[in-house]
Amino acid sequence: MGKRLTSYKDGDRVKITKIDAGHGALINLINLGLNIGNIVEIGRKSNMKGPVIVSYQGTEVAIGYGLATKIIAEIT
Amino acid sequence: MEFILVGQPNCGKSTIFNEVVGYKSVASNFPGITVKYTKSHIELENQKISVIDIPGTYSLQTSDEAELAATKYILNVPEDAVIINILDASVLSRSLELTLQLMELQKPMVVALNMIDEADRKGIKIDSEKLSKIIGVPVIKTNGRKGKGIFQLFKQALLAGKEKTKPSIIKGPANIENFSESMLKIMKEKRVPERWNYRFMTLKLLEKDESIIIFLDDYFKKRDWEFINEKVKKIENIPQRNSEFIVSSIRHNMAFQIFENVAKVERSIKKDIRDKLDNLFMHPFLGYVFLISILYMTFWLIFTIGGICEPLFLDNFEKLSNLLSTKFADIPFLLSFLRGFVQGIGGGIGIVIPFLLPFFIMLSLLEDTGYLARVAYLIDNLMHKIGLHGMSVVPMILGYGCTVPGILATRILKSPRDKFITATLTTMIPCSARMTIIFGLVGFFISIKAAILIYIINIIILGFTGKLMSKAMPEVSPGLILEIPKYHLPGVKALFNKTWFRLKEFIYIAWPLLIIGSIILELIEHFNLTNSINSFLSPFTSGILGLPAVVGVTLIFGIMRKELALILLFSALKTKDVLTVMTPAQIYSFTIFATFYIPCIATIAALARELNWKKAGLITGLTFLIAIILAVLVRFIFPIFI
Repeated sequence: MGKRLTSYKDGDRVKITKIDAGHGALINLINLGLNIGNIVEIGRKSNMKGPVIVSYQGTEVAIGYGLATKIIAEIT
Repeated sequence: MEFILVGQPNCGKSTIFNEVVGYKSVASNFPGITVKYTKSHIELENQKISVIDIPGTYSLQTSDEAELAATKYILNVPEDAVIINILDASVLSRSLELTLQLMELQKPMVVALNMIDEADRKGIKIDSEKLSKIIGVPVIKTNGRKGKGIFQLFKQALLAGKEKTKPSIIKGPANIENFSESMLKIMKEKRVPERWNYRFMTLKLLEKDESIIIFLDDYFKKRDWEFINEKVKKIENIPQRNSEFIVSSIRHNMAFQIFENVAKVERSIKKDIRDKLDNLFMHPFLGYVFLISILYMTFWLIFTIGGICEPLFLDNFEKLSNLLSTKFADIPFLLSFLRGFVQGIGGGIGIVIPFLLPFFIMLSLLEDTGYLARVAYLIDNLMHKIGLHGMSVVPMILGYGCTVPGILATRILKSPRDKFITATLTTMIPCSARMTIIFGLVGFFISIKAAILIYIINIIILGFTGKLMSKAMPEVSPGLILEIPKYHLPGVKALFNKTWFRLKEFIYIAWPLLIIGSIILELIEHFNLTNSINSFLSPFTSGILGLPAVVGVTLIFGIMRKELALILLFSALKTKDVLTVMTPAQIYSFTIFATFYIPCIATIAALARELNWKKAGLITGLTFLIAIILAVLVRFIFPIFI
């Protein structure tokens, strides 16, 4: 079952199943390769509600905490 | 002929551009908005070519002004234009997604596999010939930082322009292709201009890219739109997903397939020191220790250099000023005018060379190595507390050098609201001119601790102001989405050019106003207006702020040039020993007031340019109000503690 991106721990490989963001943020995420169905690895999650860093195919992207809670993913 | 460099952020595009055109390039704005593109000319095989560097964009699916401007520009380029698509070969699959979109435009094009050394390091071997066969245009391996392959790239671009080498069309799933076919028919019927590639437009319809679709409104009637929407719905029905996801998913998969086809990953990624750096720099605790140390060192270096250089310049300009006094003693008006002019020039040089130049070099260094993105990451949750996000930190750091480039840097922010709030906060950050007041007055006559306290008070006020403004303008901020680039050794040319561009903003906007300001000030003195201005302002300066009336004119001067408030305070008080005429409380409240009140005219001009006159007025009013409140608070609270 899908959970928020923020609830995974470092090193988890997850598949994005749903993005609940507005159109602007959505396009931004898609453009950076964070589309539904894509698999990303969680890395360097700061413990103080800071941004979550996800990486895939050699790219690292920082996603603000608030936005990360709107991305639903499941473990692969 | 025209070459347009297109690539994703951090692909090394600017390094290639700078390598080719050098410092001669001119930054221009896209019509109507303040997103910059850079243009220059080169000569290749006796042909004059314009080279245009448009802002890095991840895709042609537009989400902000910059991307929209870039897309519109590419869509409407002249017939003889060639797109030079620069890819970061080390993240080939992702880079190809933009390439696929550019291919849809069906314009002459070449592809550069840049950072090929980085791909090698990762063990990614790319068959460029095979890639070239698949996409139908020449593919050249380049290493921008070492200048390798660039000449060949531009030669191929010239050839592609002459031969009109167009990319292949890569077909998608059947339902998309059927939709595309029926759209082609409609567009032809309705005489949509052919320079907008029909296939590209079709995909834009599926992507629901309103800002581009709107172009079609002139050609389509309500009935056509209904027909199109019906078709789009049909496509969405099958996987039960919005069509914008579908199109980008297809592209993502296509890019990955091409990647698998042309590249081999020979060994797992060899870790080097750069992969370990982030364990320190982005560590939840150590990261901040490093951040503070790096910023502290940066400022320390700048002020050490500045401290050594500044007196040298000031001395010489003082000599020049004295020389003028003896030469033109009998034409007092001209003398005042010239003195003002020379002081304006000298003041500018006194800021640029000692402070701004080292500041901008250091900042470009932090930016180009990739560290600034880490700063945005570290500071993001702090910024969220005041309704902004990590990206706002860049203009604010610049503001500690000079407010003008700080304000101009707010254009990296996507939402107009974030831009407005960040610009307001940046205006209130003590720039290097205000720093001379803080340390020259409070630091010298009270204590260094008291001077540093002003910076702390400043940060607290920034926090409150930011919080209040974001409460007053509630809007769901899209939040931070930021690529954390790999660490790079910055290219010297790119570093130099970036520094020069920022410096140019000071020279063209702030400096002329600084010179005019200095002339006006000299003329005020020439016509003996000082006393009348002081007495006119005294209800405010003495009545409200509790300062000696003679400071009135220095505050007016401070609007022209902040650091003049300090120099002129000495002459207004007729002593350099300020303590004999002002109490420490008065000194403190004067300094606080001078730090926050009306921004200098160059800043106001920059605010008007970047936002608009109304917002510039609002910010000016707000900072003035904050300055009065703080100065009055200091006036009454300070004596209690002393």
